[in-house]
Amino acid sequence: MQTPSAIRRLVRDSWPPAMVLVFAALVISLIALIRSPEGVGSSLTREQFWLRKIEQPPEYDMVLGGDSRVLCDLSPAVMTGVNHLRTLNFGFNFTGYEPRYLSALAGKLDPASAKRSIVLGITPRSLTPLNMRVSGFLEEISRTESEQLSIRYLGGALSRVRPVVLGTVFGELSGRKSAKVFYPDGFMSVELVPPDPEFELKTYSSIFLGNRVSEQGIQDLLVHVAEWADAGIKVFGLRPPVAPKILAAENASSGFDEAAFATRFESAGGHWLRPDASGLVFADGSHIAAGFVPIFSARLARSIAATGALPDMSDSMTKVGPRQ
Amino acid sequence: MFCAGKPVTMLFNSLEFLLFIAIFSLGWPLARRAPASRWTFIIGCSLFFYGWWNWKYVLLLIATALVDFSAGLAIHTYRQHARKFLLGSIALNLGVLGYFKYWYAVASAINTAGGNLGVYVPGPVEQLILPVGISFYTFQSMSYTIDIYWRKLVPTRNVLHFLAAISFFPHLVAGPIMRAGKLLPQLLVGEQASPGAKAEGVRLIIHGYFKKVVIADNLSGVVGAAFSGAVSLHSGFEWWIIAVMFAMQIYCDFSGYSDIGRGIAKLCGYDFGVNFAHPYGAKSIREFWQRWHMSLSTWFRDYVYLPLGGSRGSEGKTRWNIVITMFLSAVWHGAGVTYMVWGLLHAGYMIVGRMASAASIRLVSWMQAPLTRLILWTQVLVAWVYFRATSVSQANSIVRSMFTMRSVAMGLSHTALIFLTIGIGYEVVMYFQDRMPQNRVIKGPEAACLAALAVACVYLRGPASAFIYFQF
Repeated sequence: MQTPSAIRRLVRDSWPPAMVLVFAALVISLIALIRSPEGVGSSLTREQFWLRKIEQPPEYDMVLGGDSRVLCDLSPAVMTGVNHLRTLNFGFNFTGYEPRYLSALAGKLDPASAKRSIVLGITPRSLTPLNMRVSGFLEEISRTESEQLSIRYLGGALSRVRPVVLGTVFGELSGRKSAKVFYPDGFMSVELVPPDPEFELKTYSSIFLGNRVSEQGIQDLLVHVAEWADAGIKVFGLRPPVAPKILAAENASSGFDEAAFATRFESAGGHWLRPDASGLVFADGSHIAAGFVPIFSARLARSIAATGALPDMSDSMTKVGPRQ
Repeated sequence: MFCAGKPVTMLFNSLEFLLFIAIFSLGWPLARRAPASRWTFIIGCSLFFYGWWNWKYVLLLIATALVDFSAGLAIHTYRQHARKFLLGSIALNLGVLGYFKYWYAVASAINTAGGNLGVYVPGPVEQLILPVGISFYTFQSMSYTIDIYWRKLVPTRNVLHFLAAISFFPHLVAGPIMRAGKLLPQLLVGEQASPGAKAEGVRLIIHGYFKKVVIADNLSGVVGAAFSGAVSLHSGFEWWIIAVMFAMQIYCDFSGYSDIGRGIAKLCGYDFGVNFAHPYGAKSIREFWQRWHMSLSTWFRDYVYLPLGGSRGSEGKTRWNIVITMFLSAVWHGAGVTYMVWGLLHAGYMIVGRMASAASIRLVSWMQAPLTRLILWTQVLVAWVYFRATSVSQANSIVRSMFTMRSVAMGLSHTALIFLTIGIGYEVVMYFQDRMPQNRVIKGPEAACLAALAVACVYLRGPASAFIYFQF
């Protein structure tokens, strides 16, 4: 039996650890409440965006594949407006064309569609050994079931307690603002205010050191292109546009020969596209600024139509519209 | 049976663990009162924790534990055959450990050698998933039977008592390696933790999470990218910084896990003891090992180095014992050649240290402390490069770059540099703060600091990753 003084001592000694936790919980909750949600204007949180993309059913006429230059440069909504095809952006950050990704990409096509097509954004980085091993796509498919459950059901709350990115904070302190918006069709817009076409230059000046474009990677990709073409899938390829200095840095150090690649791509059964990239503004030099994405996406859709590879696209809005 | 799939158990830094610990905390006050309910509750929760991803591993854990429990009783009861029982138990433990941890490397080497000699060796060799924590609980189990054999410990006759000690989840998957002699007596009682112990528990948990999710996880990206890319991507100066980052990352990752485990144990009323005592504050390589992963280094000291003769024989014999002990310690981490080089480097440092000490090499007094620390840090950083590198040739290139310093260009992420600075500053503060007595009650200013650290754990956390030592 404890005496009243012993109980008082117990309470006195025990409250500080409990108060630490309660106080910390209050501060965490307060910050979560007053913070702007991630990706203002998005209907999805970042994690929900990725999860939704991975889990998309096979119901598309056209799938756009590639790394962040596809992810952030091509809007399916705009392209659908032009070509009336159900289109999914299946781009992921720093993703390489390795077999699992290519298989998942083709797996999003509607097997019953007569207009199955794949558009590949070919960047030197997407053909390097590093991106074949470490990629945003591989990270996403390795999520555990419990992670997926928490993203699905606690996504909003988790987004509120997302970590502060110090780089962004310092950028904002120096007057540079950045924003990302996540769209249900797989497109993610990026904005850097003011735009800085040399922001990514340092990365692209060094990323290919000891990590040049892999000939084996190209061969493996072209095998897939040939298989898809044989299966009746129309395959299009393009090199997404970048700021001139980034392009020069890539050409100088990546080992990527666009002209030679285009020839081999077409020999494998694909169609190489060179959509008009004039007048575009680049957010960070490597990605098109959000306001110019619709322009480029529409140009690309028209460029695809101009090849005549797909059946008449004017009446091709199939029974099921694009998921939103 | 044990191939492919995701090999990770429930992580301390995961939502499911927070839910698990909340449920454990509700049940513990009721379960702790009677031994049987206490041990059953610990076993049930711990096996659930361990089997979260793959229940098959639970069977392995129980099977090896039951063998050691039986071996302990047999050694104690049938003294005339004790040696046989002990050797049998050790052979089984090392056999299981070797099968999961080293079979792939050994078989691959045999296949390669056979191929080179034109001899057909049946294959293919499949890489097994290493059961999480097997290196830790195997050593724990082995110490139990060896201590009984040496008559340092009387075996428990209650299998629940033994299983509770082996499987207790705060130490199960990444240590500390709890000797049965230390944990079994504690588990006999289930008293409520004292206010001081509760305060220490909360303190350890918050500091542990801060070290793991704020410091280690924020450094892991830069370190991982550096070691997965070309060596020439970084200047010699940058490699020194990357080596320091890895030194901080592995320390904060591993000691953070230990602290969280110790903290949970404290809240349950048990004491695991210190596993890391600010190793980078050591003045010699010998002292470094007295402060780094103390539960493992003392295990090797007590069960390998001292039985080999320790430093009781000639200087040559002592050096040989050091080399064997450090080599086995390296192999405990894995079958990779990089680990072996890391272990042998430390053995070399210790031998050179002994030689310098024997030759009474002393520097001018004011230079002694800073210079010895500088030498120690250089030695440790170089060894960490081998530990982390993907191959010995990569490590050699990095070390060459570090010492030739052909370029001092600096282009590392500013964010990572900030977290490195935070980590070093934090460690310096904790070096002095940990001189204060343990189990002290939390007072006002410290409460505010702990709350701030807890908030930082949420809003400054790095990309979530598994604990490095889970792979061992």
